[in-house]
Amino acid sequence: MAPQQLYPRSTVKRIVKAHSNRNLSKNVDIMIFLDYTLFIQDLMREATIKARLSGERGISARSVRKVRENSLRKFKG
Amino acid sequence: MSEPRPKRQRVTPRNSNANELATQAQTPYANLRQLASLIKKPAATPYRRAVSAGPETTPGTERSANTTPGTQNKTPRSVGRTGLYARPVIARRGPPTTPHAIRALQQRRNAAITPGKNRRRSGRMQRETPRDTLRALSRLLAPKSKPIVATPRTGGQSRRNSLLDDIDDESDPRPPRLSMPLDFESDDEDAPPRLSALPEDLDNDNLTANLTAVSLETGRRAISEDPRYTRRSLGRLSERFPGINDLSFDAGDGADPDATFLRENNLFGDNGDINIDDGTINLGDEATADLRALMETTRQRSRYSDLGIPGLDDHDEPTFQFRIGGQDRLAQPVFTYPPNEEDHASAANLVEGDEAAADYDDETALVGLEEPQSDASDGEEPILRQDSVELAQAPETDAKKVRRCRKEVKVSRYGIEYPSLPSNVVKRVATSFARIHGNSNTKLNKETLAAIVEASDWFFEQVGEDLGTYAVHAGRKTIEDSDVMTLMKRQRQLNATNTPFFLAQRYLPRELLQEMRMPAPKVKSKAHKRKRRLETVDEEDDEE
Repeated sequence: MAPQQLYPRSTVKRIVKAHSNRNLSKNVDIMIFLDYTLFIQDLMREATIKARLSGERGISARSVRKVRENSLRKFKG
Repeated sequence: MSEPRPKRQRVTPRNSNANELATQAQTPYANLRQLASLIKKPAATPYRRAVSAGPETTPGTERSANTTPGTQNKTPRSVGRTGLYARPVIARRGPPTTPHAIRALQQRRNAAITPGKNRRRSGRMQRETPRDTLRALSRLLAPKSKPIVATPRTGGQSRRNSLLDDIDDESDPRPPRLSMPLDFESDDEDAPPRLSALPEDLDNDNLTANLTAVSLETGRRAISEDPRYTRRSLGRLSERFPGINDLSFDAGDGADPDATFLRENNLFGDNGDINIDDGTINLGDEATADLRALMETTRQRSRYSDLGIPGLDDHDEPTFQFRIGGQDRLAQPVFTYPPNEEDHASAANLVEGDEAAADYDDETALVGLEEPQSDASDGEEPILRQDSVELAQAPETDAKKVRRCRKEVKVSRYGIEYPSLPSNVVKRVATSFARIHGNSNTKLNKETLAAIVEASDWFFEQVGEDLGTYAVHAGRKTIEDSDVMTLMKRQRQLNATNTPFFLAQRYLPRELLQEMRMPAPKVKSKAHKRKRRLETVDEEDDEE
């Protein structure tokens, strides 16, 4: 993608580790980030739809806020 | 054997009036007779049955009731007219012309001819008289005996009624609760949880404990964000603070916000000031003021002032709010007050007089309740406000500081601090997807980004907890790929077409892909492996 790293791996690991209180195997964070990517994709898609429906230009924070709840639900394991 | 019997029975009821029998019925025998007559009646009255069954039985000699050649051979017309099905034919007045009618007629005739279960049963009924009579008897009795059956029912109903009454009695106490005035509410709602939560907070001064206590309290956020409450990050103090400061006192609403406010003041404002936004109370000028004492006095003062009820001044108050503790505690605040203020004097009276030291926990909850009302009735409020305006800012700034620190370092449920995903990463990902979804204006403004970052924080929180749960379930101490795989499957992100590999290839850069693939053969699930076989060929080439 970019010469720059896509995401700080250690940060993701730390976040998940903090929340789960478990160790993470070596490359789990990639999968987690993949999941996160999918989540953001879903979120942005829904937000875009919402924004369009409400006639906004671009995506407003409001539409994101409205949508994220639902997206989070979707990504509840 | 049984044939003559039904005949007789059928005949006799016809001759003899059933009603007469009913009137005469006194002996069991008579009853049975009457019953028998009643049984036969239905068979006799609707002619169709008599006719349909007639040919079966009337031949008498023939046992097979179902075969009635005479009726079978009859043309549909004649069958109809003879009264097998009297009604429709009568209505029709002639052979059916339309195909539908013809078919219906044929069906009916066939139904009559063919030994269906019903017909057979009817025949059997006529054959097995004694038992049948009893059965029919019971059937007939059923409607008649209803009132008799009803009497026990009524008894049951009475019981039910009594039960209902009981229920009503039970439910009675509830409405009064609902309709109770404010003070009662405060006792009901606040006291138990508060009491349990507060001492810990005060003692430990532990942030996490407070966080849990505070996070339990809901109702601060918009309804749309409601379900997130359970998540800890929402209950974070940093987020709640502005809301508390803004809303708690101007609205004059329930005790919750105030209580939390005070509690938080306890935690974060070590200076012992109680500064309330509208400035009704400023006790901070005395450096020696003990916070508890201050709470106490504020409560007293507000209570005294709130409605101007003379009864409140009385020493023995019926209000549950005050429990007697040590007076020494309260003595302090009393002295700290400037003597010229009536309120304080009255407060002093109150304090010295009766319920000197109430339970601290109770008080904190209660102060909030009575605070807002004090503005209206007190004449000296403006003065106090002026004083407090300057001092009020101190705790707020403290709160702000706390907020700032908190935002940088979040603490998970397990007390582990964690960073949030850097916003530039979030922004990059989000922007790319926004573009994909055809949003021309790919720029995300700050607020939007903040919202997304927040959402991603929650996402990681939720995912982390889920993954941890899965790992625990699998009896592992580490979260492995299979856990993520399970999670994604449950999220319906993975399915037959969407293998993790496919998704990874699509969304992740190659370096990460390779990293992911290196240990893959050990850990990956079957689906993944299967997919891998197909796809790794070219990739391995690349790698090699």
